[in-house]
Amino acid sequence: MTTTAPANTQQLIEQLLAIVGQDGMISSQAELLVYECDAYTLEKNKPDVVVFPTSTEHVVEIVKVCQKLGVPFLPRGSGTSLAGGCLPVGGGVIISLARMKRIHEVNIRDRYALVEAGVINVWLTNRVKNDGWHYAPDPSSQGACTIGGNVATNSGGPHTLKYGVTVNHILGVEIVLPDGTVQTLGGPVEDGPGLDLTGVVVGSEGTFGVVTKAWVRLVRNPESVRTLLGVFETVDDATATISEIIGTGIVPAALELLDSLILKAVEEAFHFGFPLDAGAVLIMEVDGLEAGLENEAERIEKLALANGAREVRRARTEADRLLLWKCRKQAFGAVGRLAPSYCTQDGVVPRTALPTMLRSIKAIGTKYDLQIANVFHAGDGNLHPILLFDERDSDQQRRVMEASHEILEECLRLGGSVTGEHGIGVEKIDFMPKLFTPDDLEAMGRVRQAFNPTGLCSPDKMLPTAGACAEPSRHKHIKPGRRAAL
Amino acid sequence: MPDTIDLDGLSIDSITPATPDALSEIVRVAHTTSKPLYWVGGGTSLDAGLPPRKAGTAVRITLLDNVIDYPARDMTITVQSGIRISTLQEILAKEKQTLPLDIPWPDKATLGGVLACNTSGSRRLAHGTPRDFVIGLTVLNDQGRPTKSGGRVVKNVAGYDMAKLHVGALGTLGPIVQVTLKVRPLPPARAWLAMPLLGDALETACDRAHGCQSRPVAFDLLALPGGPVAWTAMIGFEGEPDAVAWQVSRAKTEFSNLVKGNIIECQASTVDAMATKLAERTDPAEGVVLALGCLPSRTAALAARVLADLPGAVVHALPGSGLIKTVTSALVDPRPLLAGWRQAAGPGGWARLVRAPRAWKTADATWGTPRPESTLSSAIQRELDPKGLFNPGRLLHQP
Ligand SMILES: Cc1cc2nc3c(=O)[nH]c(=O)nc-3n(C[C@H](O)[C@H](O)[C@H](O)COP(=O)(O)OP(=O)(O)OC[C@H]3O[C@@H](n4cnc5c(N)ncnc54)[C@H](O)[C@@H]3O)c2cc1C
Ligand SMILES: Cc1cc2nc3c(=O)[nH]c(=O)nc-3n(C[C@H](O)[C@H](O)[C@H](O)COP(=O)(O)OP(=O)(O)OC[C@H]3O[C@@H](n4cnc5c(N)ncnc54)[C@H](O)[C@@H]3O)c2cc1C
Repeated sequence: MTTTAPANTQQLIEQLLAIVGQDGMISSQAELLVYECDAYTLEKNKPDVVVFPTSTEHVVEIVKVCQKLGVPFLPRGSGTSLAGGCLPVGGGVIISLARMKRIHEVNIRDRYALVEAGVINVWLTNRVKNDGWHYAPDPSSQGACTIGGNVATNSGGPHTLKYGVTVNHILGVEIVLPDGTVQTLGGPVEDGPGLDLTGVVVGSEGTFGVVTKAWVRLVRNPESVRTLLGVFETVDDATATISEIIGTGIVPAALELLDSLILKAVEEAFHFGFPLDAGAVLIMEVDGLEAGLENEAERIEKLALANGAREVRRARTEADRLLLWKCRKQAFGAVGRLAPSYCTQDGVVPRTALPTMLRSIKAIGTKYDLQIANVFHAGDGNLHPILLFDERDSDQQRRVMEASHEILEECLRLGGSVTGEHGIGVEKIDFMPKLFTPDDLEAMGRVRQAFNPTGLCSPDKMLPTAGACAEPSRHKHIKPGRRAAL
Repeated sequence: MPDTIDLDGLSIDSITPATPDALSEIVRVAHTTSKPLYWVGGGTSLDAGLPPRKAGTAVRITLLDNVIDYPARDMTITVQSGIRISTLQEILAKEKQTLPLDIPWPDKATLGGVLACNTSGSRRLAHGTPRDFVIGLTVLNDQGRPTKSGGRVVKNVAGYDMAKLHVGALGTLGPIVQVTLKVRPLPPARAWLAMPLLGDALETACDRAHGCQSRPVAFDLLALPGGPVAWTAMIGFEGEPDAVAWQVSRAKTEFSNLVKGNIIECQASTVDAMATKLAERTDPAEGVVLALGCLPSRTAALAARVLADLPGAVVHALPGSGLIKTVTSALVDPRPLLAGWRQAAGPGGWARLVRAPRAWKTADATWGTPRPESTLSSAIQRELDPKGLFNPGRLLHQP
């Protein structure tokens, strides 16, 4: 399903080859299979070619070739997107940033680092941790995903509850605009004149150009941490505890909920010693200065017990704490033990609506006869219901789609959103007209028009075609969206 | 009733819509007549940016000041943009919550004006700037129709984050009508220390604040004319009472050898408003105000240079953020200093006139040499305000 004519493809490959060389390109059908989707596997389409630039200059040349030949192109980091952000809808060129992975500068005194887009999130923290600093946004995929991908999707993570999401930590970017010009937006000196272009590039899901470098904020490590594990009979008790903690004015570093189904998988995988008969557990972490921290931890413990916690455990050692976080962050990976395939949703509701929402998820699971596991950023109201199924069973696939849809509709009904951190991508594009009016979408389309006037950069992402102006007509016949895959 | 208003030297009629629909109608009419509109909030910064050159109508947004929804337990609030900052803070305080931004003249300044100017102060070191608190925003488009982005939940990546463009755009992309903010708990305890610094201790004090064991929410440098020392460092703490008490005693030890005389612990009665008072020092109605930005590590040297160049000026620096503001009398034209300051500010650094006699406010003095990305900004402005009707000419080097 590519829209590039074969003769054109040949020309394209030759011109790209001249830029990146044989070693910097994939064009054989077998190898291209790897790039037909990202971590959202329900829709697939092969690109015509994948290139691996090693410098900003390479990216500029590649983008110019694409514009000249009228071929769509799409940046890609590690392909861990859960929304189909890396799906090459109209074929074309995937620009992988995987080989642009230098950390150019670490400046602790001025609290920033300058990194290339392909740097893996956790490398940065590893680099500065001995100095007592870290990079705060910590998506569960941080061992695999890139800073460029984080910038494009405005990633969150367990600790964004206290420390903020990616956009709160990006000081500036170097971006290759879709016309091939390189722009430096923002930078380590704050409050420069003009519009906050960095702020709008963050979360633009690759539709404004290819981010090649980023200036990111570094954060000092807290002096102390207390990590508690509340064990609850029911999910309701756990969600009530969350509301209470937030309501009393404590801002925990993290508040993560795991329900009984996910606990089973995680326990099998990591043998942490989770109680398998519990309805839910809450990972509750507070950090800050040692003075006063114990007090805060005790208050949280009391609140959990008052809300029906069976017990509250403490991570006694750093190793204990790290294992607990490993269980949380690799929970998705453990899901393989429960079913051959899964689909993760990313809805958000106001924190106080969590009990209602989790009851709805349960009811929807029953209605569609599906198992749904929950492991999520509870303190932010950001759910990750994991719908289990078998990809080989088309009826199950249909039910997963319908149940997902119903879950997200319910999030909207409760005043929330369909995505807290994974992005719209192609997966949730059909929801955009439900979240936004035609006027809202038109305003967004106009901003995209300013960055990406030909529309060749990441076409058919984020904005539904009807809402955008000057959409290239060449892709019109390929309807993005979940239905296309089935 | 139209009355006239002085908009940085331009005297024009003003109108005050009582509802968002009335504001929409004003924009719709302007769209057909191609007459510019100038938004007015509390009027504390009407000289923000370049002076307006085209005649038009001033639109006061102050009557749009309703609270739309305040689900306190979700720690979000949705309000109309004309709400005064002090009113907003009072409403939040009833639920032991706050918007931790330090806004000068909060009884006058409106939320819309604060967002348009991206106003911030001392505690941005810990809490960030207005852009970090906006989770949903409604503005009017060029035809007067409301367009929103974001939503009412604290985490949301659906659609482009248009609010980032509007915050700091000085109203040039459209009037802000409604805002959803995430808010923070009111800290149970606060403290401020004033530390008169020894003559050569400026740089060391900044380095120490960067690496000290306490975790200040603010660390400011203040030079006031006629004081016993050139520079006083102000350090602020917030949080649990135990943690604040520990930090106060810790800081007293950590900074003791940099101080001339005694470290002064601020009175309980002044502590809450300290950051606001500091912001007001360099935001007077009179006088010439200049602002500079540089890397945090350069702040001490640059601030010292500013004071040396403008003896008798008030200088207020935020070394953690690399920002400096200064107020001087209108008797001296400081423009010839800007070039040297820009150079001293280093790569990416800037220096500009914020408040000055109208004739001094050239594009270069106000915004500096255009940066390459201003073409992109202009493209966005053309897309969102194709007829150039919204606060035309105030931001950057607009035609
Ligand atoms: C197990 C698992 C756990 C996860 N946990 C979290 C989590 O806790 N929080 C969270 O937020 N997300 C999470 N995710 C989702 C995903 O990891 C994030 O969206 C991540 O930011 C994607 O990074 P990436 O490098 O893999 O980007 P990709 O998947 O390669 O790309 C994602 C999007 O960004 C664009 N893009 C990539 N690089 C660039 C660039 N340099 N310039 C411009 N656009 C670019 C792509 O076009 C695409 O639209 C998880 C995913 C998995 C598989
Ligand atoms: C360049 C600059 C830098 C500043 N920096 C600082 C600083 O670092 N620290 C500090 O403490 N103070 C700073 N200020 C002062 C700050 O702007 C004011 O404290 C306050 O934000 C203005 O609020 P107001 O309601 O009085 O706005 P007004 O004075 O009424 O308006 C200010 C600007 O905002 C626009 N505006 C007002 N309401 C709206 C709306 N609803 N929608 C769109 N646009 C609107 C106006 O058109 C005008 O351009 C700065 C001002 C300027 C101009």
